[in-house]
This record gives sequence, C-alpha cells and structure tokens, in this order.
Amino acid sequence: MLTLGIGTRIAAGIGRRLGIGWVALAVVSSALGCAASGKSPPNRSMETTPGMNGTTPGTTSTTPGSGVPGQVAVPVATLGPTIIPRLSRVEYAASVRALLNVDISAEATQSLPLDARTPFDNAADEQSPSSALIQGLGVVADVAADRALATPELRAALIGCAPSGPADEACFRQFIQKFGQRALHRPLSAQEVTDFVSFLATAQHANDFNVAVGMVIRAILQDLEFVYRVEIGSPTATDPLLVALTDWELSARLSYLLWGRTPDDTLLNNAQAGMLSTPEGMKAEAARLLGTPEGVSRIQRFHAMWLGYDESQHPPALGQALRTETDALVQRVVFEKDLSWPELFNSPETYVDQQLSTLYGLPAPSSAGFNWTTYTDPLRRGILSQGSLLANGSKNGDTSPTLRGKFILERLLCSPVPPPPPGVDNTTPPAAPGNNCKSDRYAAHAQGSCAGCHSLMDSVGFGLENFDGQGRFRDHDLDRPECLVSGNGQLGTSAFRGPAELGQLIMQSEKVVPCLAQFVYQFAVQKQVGPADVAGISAFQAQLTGAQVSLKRALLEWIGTGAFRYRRIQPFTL
Amino acid sequence: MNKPLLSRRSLLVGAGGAVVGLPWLEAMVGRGVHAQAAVIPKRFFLAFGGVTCGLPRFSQPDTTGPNYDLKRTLMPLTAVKDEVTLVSGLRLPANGPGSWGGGGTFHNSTNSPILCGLSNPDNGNATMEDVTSDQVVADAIAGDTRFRSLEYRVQLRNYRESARAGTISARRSQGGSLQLNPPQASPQLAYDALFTGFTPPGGGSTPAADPAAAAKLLRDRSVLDRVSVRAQALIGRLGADDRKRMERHYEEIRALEMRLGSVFQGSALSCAALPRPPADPATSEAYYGDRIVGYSDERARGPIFSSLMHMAFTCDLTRVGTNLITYAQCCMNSQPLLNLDEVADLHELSHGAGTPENTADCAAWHVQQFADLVTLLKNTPEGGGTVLDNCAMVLLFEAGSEDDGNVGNPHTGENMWALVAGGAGGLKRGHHIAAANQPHPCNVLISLMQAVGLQTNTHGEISGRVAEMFV
Repeated sequence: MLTLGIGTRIAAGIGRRLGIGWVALAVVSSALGCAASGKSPPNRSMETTPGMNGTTPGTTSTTPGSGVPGQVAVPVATLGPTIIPRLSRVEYAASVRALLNVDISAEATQSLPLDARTPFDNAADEQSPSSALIQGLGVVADVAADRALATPELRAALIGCAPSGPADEACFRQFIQKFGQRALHRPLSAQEVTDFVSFLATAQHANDFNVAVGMVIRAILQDLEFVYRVEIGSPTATDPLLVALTDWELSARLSYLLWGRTPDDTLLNNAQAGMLSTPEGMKAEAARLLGTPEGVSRIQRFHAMWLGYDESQHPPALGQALRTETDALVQRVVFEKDLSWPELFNSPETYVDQQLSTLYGLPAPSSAGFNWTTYTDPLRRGILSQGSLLANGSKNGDTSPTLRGKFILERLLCSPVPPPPPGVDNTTPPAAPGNNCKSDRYAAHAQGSCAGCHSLMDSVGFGLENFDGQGRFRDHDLDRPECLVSGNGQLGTSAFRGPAELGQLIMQSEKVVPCLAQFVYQFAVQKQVGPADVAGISAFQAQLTGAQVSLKRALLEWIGTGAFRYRRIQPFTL
Repeated sequence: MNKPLLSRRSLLVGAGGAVVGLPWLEAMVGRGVHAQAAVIPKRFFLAFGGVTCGLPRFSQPDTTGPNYDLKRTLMPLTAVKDEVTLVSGLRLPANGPGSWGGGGTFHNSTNSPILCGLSNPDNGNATMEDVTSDQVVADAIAGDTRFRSLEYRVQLRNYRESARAGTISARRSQGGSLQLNPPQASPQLAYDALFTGFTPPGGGSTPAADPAAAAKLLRDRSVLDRVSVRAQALIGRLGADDRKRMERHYEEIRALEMRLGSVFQGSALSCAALPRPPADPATSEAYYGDRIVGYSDERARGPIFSSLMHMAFTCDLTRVGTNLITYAQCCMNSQPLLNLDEVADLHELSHGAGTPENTADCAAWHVQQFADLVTLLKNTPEGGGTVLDNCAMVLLFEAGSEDDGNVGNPHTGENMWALVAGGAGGLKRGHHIAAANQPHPCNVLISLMQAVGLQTNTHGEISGRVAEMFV
C-alpha cells in the first residue's frame, strides 16, 4: 500500500518542485516506501504530463548523423526538447572576463536579475526577460566597456590595430570582425560589420576612436546572440523540431558546458577549420577544455550547486576554507587521480588548513596553508564528512536530521520524498512534553501518518548527528550535555554510523551513479528534466558504466556522440 | 524600412497606428504632455509582505467603521488613519478554488492564490500560475505611459537560498506566453530607469540635464537602436517556437528604446525630479545558529522605493506599481530592522524564536512602508484634490495567524487582513471593515480592479468584490 500510494502525478509535482527528474521518479519512487497523503496536483504544466513524449523505448531513430561510425548509435530522435538559455550572472561575467579581461562580477550580481537555483543557476525554463533584465544588461555592458578601455594596454590588446584617428574605418572594421566573432561565436557578415561602422560618426564627433569601440562593446554585450546561447541549427529531414547544430553552435555548447563562458580563440579556430565535425575532434576539444583550470573549476562548481554548498551558509573565512577543501577533493577524484567517481565518498584524506584541522579535531598541519591530511576519526571519510555538505539541512539554529536525510535521499540517490500531508507545521522545531532530547522529540513528532516518510529521512539524518552544521564532532545535542548522541542511523535496511559508513552505503547503492547522470544531464541541457528526457539521460548514463566510473571520460565520450550534435526545439505553449 | 516583426502596443500608439521604422523615436518627444489635458488617470498599487500579518490581537481594532482604534501593528497608520481602510476577516482557503493547498510547504504556496486567484497546483511552488492583478490592470489602464508597470522589491535577497520566490507579477507577452516580471531591487537602478530622459516641469537635475550624461544618452540610443535592429533580425531567423519565447526580450528592448528616445516632460505641478539615492546599501551577514542570515539595510531601502513610486504616479510615468516588501518566507536578519538584542531570522521569529510582539512589529514595518507612500500621495495635489484620491492601493501579507495563546500558527490562511487606501472608484476611506463571509484576498483585489475602472468581476477562480469596501 505504501509504494502504490505515490501517484504518478504526485511524483511529477514533487519532481518539478525539487528539480528532480523523471528517471529517478520512474525508477525509484516505489523503492522509497513512504506514502504521500497529499492531493494530486492539477496538471497545468506540460512538464508534469506523464508520458514518453518522443521517448518510446525501442524507437531508435535513423535520423541522419545519429550513427557515427565506430560510435554507439544514439537515438537522436529521442532527445528531449530544450529552450534557448540565457547566460546566468556567473556565465555573463565569465564571458566578459574572457572577452575583455575585466572583472564585472560584482556589477553582474548587483544589476542582473537573480538566477533561480534548480539546483543549478542555468535553467532556461526558470528564466524570464523583464525590464529589469534589459536595464541591467545596459548597466553591465557600460561598466564592462569603460573598464575594457581604461588603460592603453587593455585597449591595444582588445582593438588589435593602431587607429590612425577617430575615422580609421579599416582598423574599426578589423576590430568589429574580431571582437564580434569572439563574442558571438561565429563570423559576422559583411553587412553586420558595415552596420556597426556607423558608430564611427559618433567617434569623429567626439574626436575619439575609442568612443566607437566602446559603443560596439556595449552593443555586442547586449546582443541577443551574446546574452542567449542561441541554437538555430539546420533542419533534419525527419522532424521539424529536431535540428542539427552548426559547428559554431557546437563550439558554444561545448564551451558553456565545460567552461561556463564563451569559446576561446582556439576553439573558434578549430570550429572554423571543421575540426568539430568529427567525434574525435569534439572529444579532443572537450579534453582540452577539461584539462584547464577553468574546466576543473566548472566541474567543481557543478558539484557545489548540485550538492548545495555553492552558496555558503558559513562565515566568510570558514566558508572559503570549506569550499577549498571540497573543491580539492573533487579535483583529486575527477581530475588528478581520475578515480572512480564514487570514491568521493571514500577518501581517507582531506585537504585542510589550521582552521579546518581545529574544527575537525585533526592533528595540527605540518606546514602552513592547506595539506592533505588523513582523518583520525574512523567516523569520517569522504565528502560527507566535510562542513560544506554538512551545512545542508540546517534549521532552527541546529541541524535537522529530517532535512539532512531528505537531502541525501533526493540529491544523491534521486529518491524524492513526498511533501508533508496537509495541516502539518514543518517549521517549528519538534517539541515533546518535558522538552526531551532531540532524538526523542523527533521520534514523538514522526508518529502516525508521518512515520512512513519521517522514519526514512530522520534515520538517515540521525546517522550524521555526531557532526554539527560546520562539520565539528559532537557527542551531545546542541546546548544539552545530558542528551548524548548515538550517531546511529539507517539507510533503507542498512544500519550505519557517521559519514564514513553512510558513504560506503551510497557507494554501494545502485542509485548513486544514475543520479549523478541525471544531474549532469540536467546541468548540460539547462532545464529541469522531465519524462521526455529519459532517453537522453540514459544515453549519458551509458557512459558511466564499468568498475571505473570516470566522470571525465563519460563527458568526453558523451560529447563525442551524435546526441550532442542535435537539438530538439521545445514546442511553445501558452 | 524594417517592418517590425511583432506588433507593439506602444509603437502603434506612438505612431498613430502606422507601422514605421526607427525615425518614430523622434516623434515620441513630448510624450506625457497629453496627460495634463486628459482625464486624471487612476493608479493601482499592490504591496506584499512575505510574512504573517501577526496575531489578531495586535492588529484587529475593537471597533468597526470610521475612527477605528489602532493596535500595535497598525500604529504606523496614526497620521493617515482617515485614509487607510482595514479589511479584516479575510480567509485564504486550504482547499477549493483559490486555495493554497494545505500541504506542509506553506510559504510560496500562497503566492498564486493571492495574486492570481488560482489554487496552487504544486505545493511550495512560487511560480505565478497566470496573470497577476496588477498586470490585468496594466493591460487596461497603462495607456502609453512611460512604464507599463513598475515592479520594486525592498528585500534584496532571500538570504537563505536562491529560491524562485522574489517576483509577484506576471503578464502575458504579445504572443501570449506567461512571463514573470522580476522586480528591480536596486534603488539606484530604479531611480535611473525612472529619471533618465526626464525633464520635470519645475526643472531640476536629472541625468539628461547634465551635458556629459546627455552625450551618453545619445550614444546609448544609438547602441540600443543597433541592439534592437539586430534582435529583430535574429528573431526572424528563429523557428516559431523559439521566436515566441524570445519576443518578450525584444519587447522590453523596444520599450527601453522608446523611453530613451523620448524626453518626458511631466506636466503635473507636483511632478519634480528627486535626488539620486546614495549607493545601494551593502549586505551584512550575521551568524544565526549555525548558518548565515543577511540584511542589506532594507529599512533604508524601503522609503526610497516609496518615494520613487510616489513620483512615478505623480508624474504619470506609470499607473501600475507593485512592491514586494519581503520575500515569501522572509529569512532576513531582523535584528537591525526591529532593534533586537540578538541576530534573528525573521521567518523563525514567527515560529517561536521570538515573541508575538516581535512578529507584530515586523508586520508593522511593512505597514509603515505602506503608510509612507499613502502619506506622500496624500500630500500631493492633483486636479482639485490629491493624487491619493485617484489611487487604489493595497497591502497584503502571505499568511494570517491563529491565536494559540503563544506565538500563533503563522502558516495559515485564517484571520488575514488587508490595508486599502485611495479614493478611486468610490473606495471607502478610513474604515475598519469586518468583512462578512470571510472573503478571499482576491475579492479585495477585484474590488480595487473595479475601483480603477475595470469591468471585471473575476480574477482567476475567484469572483465578486467586497461590497462593504465601497461608499
């Protein structure tokens, strides 16, 4: 009765709200074993309509380009639909930095509308143009242009030729062509260049060539093709909504996925040279991008948004140290040692400085700064021991075993938990007569119809209770020395105590790698995934198989498949 | 000539119905002058607090009718009590039409029911499910004002997580797609948008009056002209589905282009330039329990937005405004706001982290901002009366409260109330109306929509006005 109690539409609603996709909902919702007693939400959104829109199993398309020789045939026709995404604040600032060598991230944060987190900040289905956006783009373009022209060195590097005067059209055209191509990731047509040349009149009036340069920068940085990652492609014969991307569009898709910013000159040159038209060329470019500090940083940020520590809940110095620690572990597992990805949960060492050593009760570091240090507490191992992740689920000034459990289930195992039933106040700390210890209070709270879901969530969270919201060990409840914490928890039917043992259970779970695939896919297609994306996610997941689950290799292989070269346009509905 | 791809209300109005290319910009100079000759416009204003309105005993007067007594939360109305009507006895149902759903995830669930009149289909989802009342009104009365509507937000960030809340206005673009209107949360940017290209009748310093700024304005126009033409060309290359999504961006570019391309000369005597606000207050973070809560001097931001909205109405720069004072489930550090001894998350104050009086004072801070704007509009002559005479204004909260003898349950649609001000359409002023039959908050909005001249008697799933609100 419990498993069947979750209606498909409820699961859809939950998934939509939580940004949790359909693969998990379809596959594991029954495994969760707790009932939702809420109503079925009406179906107003097309995303919530169950069905296999274009994803009928077994329908492997023969769309041109889907079967590249030597590659796994990817059913391109089963790709889920996407929307043209706008650059997030972070992507906008990173692209401006790449183009102009100036930092406008503070202004982007202040002037551009907030990016919703799904948990990623790049979801096109959460974006909405507005007058505030248009005004903000004008502001950041202004700031960027002024800074880019602030010094002779910056100007010389940017313009690329020495203007003879404010009317030097040849130099101006050269700049427009070069800057336009770098910003819009395609060559500008002769007419487009000519249209910009009219700015020279203003430069002559002001007797300053740079005025016209500044105007081009302003115009390009507000241009739809810069502000959005536009994919028009060319139609395929079989399906009007399925388009094959141009090599220029592929260069941007690749660069925004792996760098979070506009392509560099090398990538554009290689696109121009036709090197992106083969799987090998795509993979080689992807490997180059991932091999740079920007590529590493991008994968680190993917993990940070996914696992809830991109926006730190800690005081700045501590938050920075904790971010450094977790980033280092991601870099080590995914890049430096290229370990099997689940080893994130198994690392016996962590990267700490004096502050974090004290926090975790580790021996003082042998040298200043950060060092890899072996955990001394057997309860600790891997990423779940770190204060960055342990901050998730804080509530009422303390950890919430319920929210921590929910976080583990939903983000790492893609097992959504239904919302509480009607009439439940879930914001007041669980209280019980006599103000008992925390475990008693939670136990008293999770009675009756609440027990099904709460036992699943709370039992996971209580297994982490020996660690506070910063990752510090504790043996008793907050401000309650008489309330000793056992730290005993349970995931499904398996008992555990502490992050090390929980990490082992997660590593052994069949759900964690599919869940990784789902979130990577969601990050890559820049929208919340739905039933139409099942096949696309499966195609990516297929690259994450084997004893050695290499995220890096999976990304490269996936980028080399035909699926990466197409886009299905999401039909517009009112 | 470039034929505009998309029909544009404002373009058609400005060009007298003829579809023209870019030279229309110059024809727009002098827009706004018509306002003085025409009938005095009506204005619609909606403020929203993402907090509970507090225990009834701190807000509900002992008496009904005029000259009602002010309790703790309503004390900021002291000087404008004769202007502001309290409509009490409202109820947002947990189930049925216009309901919040009754689930455990309360906060964002009330946005769509209150603002769109539609029951919340997806527990906890902050997304507007349809057009909000302010935008229904804008469709009807915006005319060719410089801003079809203005959306402001006092609270800079949610401070807890970048949830999807933070927007309370949604409209349909020309093509019919439903799109949010994220508010402007920067006082300086809000000011710049309002006063760029603006020459008040009494003179004064505006960005356009400064020679350097005037030169910049000229360049900005040229740049935006190019952006606009290129956007139009790109949209023409998109497939129909992508095109419909992108059209709103293009519409907004054209709206800004129109504003930059015209010099607005407000005609009303009271229309004047304001000084540019100081740099936006910075965010300070404080430790609360084991996490950070933030504050960006929202107490200073609030009055700036009230002043800007006041002048926008006075000058007929817009006729429709919203102000999201606080996010749904406001997680702001309320220590500086309420002069508390300790750091406190405003949301958790209402759940027992503070006293019932703290929560009442938090609601009072929202009331203060509403009172500020009412006061400004009341003191501004227009025609034979004041601007306030021609307004329909409301302040709503996300939740009511049930008195349990302690802090109360702030996650409920019971005991909700609204503050209403303005004399548009015969709205009753300065009364406490204990509404009969527990109207939905949307019934209040429908009343205001009728007050500014709309014929509608329905918003979303809710029908009917609150009859007692009218003289």
